[in-house]
Amino acid sequence: MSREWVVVGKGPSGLLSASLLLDAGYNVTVVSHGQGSFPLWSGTLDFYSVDHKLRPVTHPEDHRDVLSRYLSYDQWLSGWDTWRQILAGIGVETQVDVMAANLLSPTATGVLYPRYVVPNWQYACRIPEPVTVVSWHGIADLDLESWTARYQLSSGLEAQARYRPAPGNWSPRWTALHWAGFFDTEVGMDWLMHDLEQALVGTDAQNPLLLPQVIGIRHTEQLLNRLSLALGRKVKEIPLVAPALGGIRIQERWQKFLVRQGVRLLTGEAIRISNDGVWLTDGRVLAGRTVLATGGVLGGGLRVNWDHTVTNTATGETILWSGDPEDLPLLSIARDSSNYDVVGRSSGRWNGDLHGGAGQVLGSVLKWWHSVQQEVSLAK
Amino acid sequence: MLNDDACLKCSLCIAACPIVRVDSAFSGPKALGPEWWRSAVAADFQQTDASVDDCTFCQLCEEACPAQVPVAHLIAQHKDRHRRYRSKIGRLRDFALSHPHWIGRLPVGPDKVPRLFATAFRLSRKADYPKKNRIFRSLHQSVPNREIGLFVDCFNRDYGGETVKAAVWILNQLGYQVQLVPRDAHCCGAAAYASGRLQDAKDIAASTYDALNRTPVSTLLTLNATCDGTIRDEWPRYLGLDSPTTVVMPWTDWIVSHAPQEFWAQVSEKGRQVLVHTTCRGKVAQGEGAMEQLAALTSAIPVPLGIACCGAAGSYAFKAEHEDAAAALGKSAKSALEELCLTPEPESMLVDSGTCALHLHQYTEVSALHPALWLYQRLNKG
Ligand SMILES: Cc1cc2nc3c(=O)[nH]c(=O)nc-3n(C[C@H](O)[C@H](O)[C@H](O)COP(=O)(O)OP(=O)(O)OC[C@H]3O[C@@H](n4cnc5c(N)ncnc54)[C@H](O)[C@@H]3O)c2cc1C
Ligand code: SF4
Ligand code: SF4
Repeated sequence: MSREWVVVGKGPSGLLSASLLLDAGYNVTVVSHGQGSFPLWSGTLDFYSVDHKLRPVTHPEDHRDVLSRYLSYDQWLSGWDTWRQILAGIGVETQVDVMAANLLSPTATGVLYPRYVVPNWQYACRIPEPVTVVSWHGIADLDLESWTARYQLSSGLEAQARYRPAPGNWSPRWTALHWAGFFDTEVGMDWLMHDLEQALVGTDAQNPLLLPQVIGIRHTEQLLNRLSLALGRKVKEIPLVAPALGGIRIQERWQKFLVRQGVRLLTGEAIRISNDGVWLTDGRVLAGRTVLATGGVLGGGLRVNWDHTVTNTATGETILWSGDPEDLPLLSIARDSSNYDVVGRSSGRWNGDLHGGAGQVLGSVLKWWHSVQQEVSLAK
Repeated sequence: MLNDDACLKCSLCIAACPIVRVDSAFSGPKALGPEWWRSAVAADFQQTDASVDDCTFCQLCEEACPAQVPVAHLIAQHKDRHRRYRSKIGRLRDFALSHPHWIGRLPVGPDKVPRLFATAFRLSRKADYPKKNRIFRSLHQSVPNREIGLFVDCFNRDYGGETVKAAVWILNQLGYQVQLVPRDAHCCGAAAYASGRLQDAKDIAASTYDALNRTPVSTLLTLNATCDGTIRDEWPRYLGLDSPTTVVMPWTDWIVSHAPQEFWAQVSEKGRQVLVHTTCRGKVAQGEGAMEQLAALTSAIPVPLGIACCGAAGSYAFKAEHEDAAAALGKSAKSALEELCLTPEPESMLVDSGTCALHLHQYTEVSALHPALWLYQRLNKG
């Protein structure tokens, strides 16, 4: 089998495919023309966390049937562990009790929700507990009042809230990244420490302290540890909506890791896939076997179906390729091409928005990876 | 442009912007680009946002956008509109810095400009400025067999003589005749574009385009990632010029794909760690990995520095109002290096831009240079 692989797309499924290939000793080139969807998620891995009546599922076993339609339950178990190990390899430690029971972690709106794999910076618990939440005026994405109300409703326990004034340099244009950039500086960290000392007066020291997901970009774990030591309680983040720092941190560490391991991370738009490799709009041709991980943020993008037709996921239009590259301005696949695989959101047969995008990523990448390994052992 | 109005408000551009992380007063790409464009151009609302001038024009926002909104180019339009609010002296300075090929003609290098003078012209007092190091006269000769063209950009012509010499020497070793183009000092227009002087950018680029047509070559290799992206991608897309040659590509990529095994056998840097920084514009234009490949072909161990943008951004770091942002990014380069915990400390850092190399050297104290010069030095030891 070819030693050269080209992965199109650097969303979660592209990066995961690249990591698996790299581990197995292949030469990997990743090419994409845009950012993947990581900065849209908080970084937790969830899928089929709710049942068909949208009720939370506490044990993945309960979903054995649905999950087994895609991969065997054992494959899920090991795949899950692979995901966790890969994250650890890029420097993102997670809190897991693999496949035993879901952890509970609150959403951006305060609802406790079952999650499968949760990075260490994010608050998660096994059994609901009372919490203390501090936020600042100007973090528009976190409405503390409704957050605590929902937390209390979904957990049946108390959430103490402290709403604090924003720092002096705050402006209405600040996004989560501005906050995080501020806390990454010494000045910002001093301000935070001082502000939290005041905010916590009269709160229960037993409660974990929850802060919006803006505690730095590069050094989050160290910052949270420092806070925890200084304040004498557990300090964790709660997720916010996009741009979400959790996903941004994962994406950055992952890309950095891959480049360091010798993966080429190219910028370019793929327009044609053939047995020769991937053709980019600027004329470059990347030789190798291809994995299409072309996803699509917010439902947009292309879904390549198993029957070689392509669906524009924004319009729902199915594009049948006539054989003429002109007909498909975005991406075309040569009729005789047998040299590509499709993973991630592009892969169809799973509604990522309803049943968890990360599950789709993991499931489809694992399915592809098992078939590659089978091919290798057959060849031997 | 086609996608000017295509923003989905997903915020991926903000996640990619290096300035948002170090400058709390910077409004960020979504607000300054597509949102401003919708109100200002589409709805004819004249207001501008002063923080627009703090954008480095690294284009990482634009590279990130899933809807292919030309985010950075909308921001450049915004800068252009904001021009009239700048002070006279600021405008004069921007005009001068937009014509780097003129500055290069001055008898002394910018490093010799007295710091006092710098304040008066609103130039940074913190930045290191480049030393004069002109290309060698003998290299100006045209060669009869015009096999390959090397684009001599404004920076390398006046301050990167050694880099140009090294790049030519290596191509000669590989049996190629090299034509240095254009014949005399020109600029691709990137400096003017980045400052929001769109008409100047067009004029400067058009004059360079004409100059390139006077000495036609079929393959044009570049030594600076910004010029590379500007000529290949932006000339046709934004500046109304077609591509001057069939192939425009970085010198490094070309060498990696064309030099034979015997060539690499002459150098062995076995076990030596070499830092690599692909500039922001290099990431946008071609991606990461070519300089790492080059280092690996000499058996060195390439270590990517792992930062998005160093803060130099052409003449950005030379402007007084950018001192803090440029220094903050420079310092994060330093802390990225410290986090790598490399022993022994690497002696060199490969960088695909002269101004970035200068800036990175200032903050990390590691000798930062173009891969051509690094390779030349390895091939000519002693
Ligand atoms: C707002 C939002 C929040 C979400 N939150 C969560 C969450 O918390 N947990 C969860 O599990 N899931 C979540 N999801 C779902 C999940 O993000 C997606 O289903 C999943 O990320 C898809 O990943 P992907 O790698 O398949 O595709 P993407 O991440 O979309 O990546 C596609 C890549 O392909 C590139 N590409 C496409 N076409 C080309 C081409 N022609 N040439 C070159 N490159 C190309 C793109 O530039 C991009 O890099 C969320 C989705 C959204 C929209
Ligand atoms: S990345 Fe593109 S679509 Fe998303 S907010 Fe920015 S400009 Fe809009
Ligand atoms: S061009 Fe660079 S500095 Fe300017 S807004 Fe975009 S990402 Fe930020």
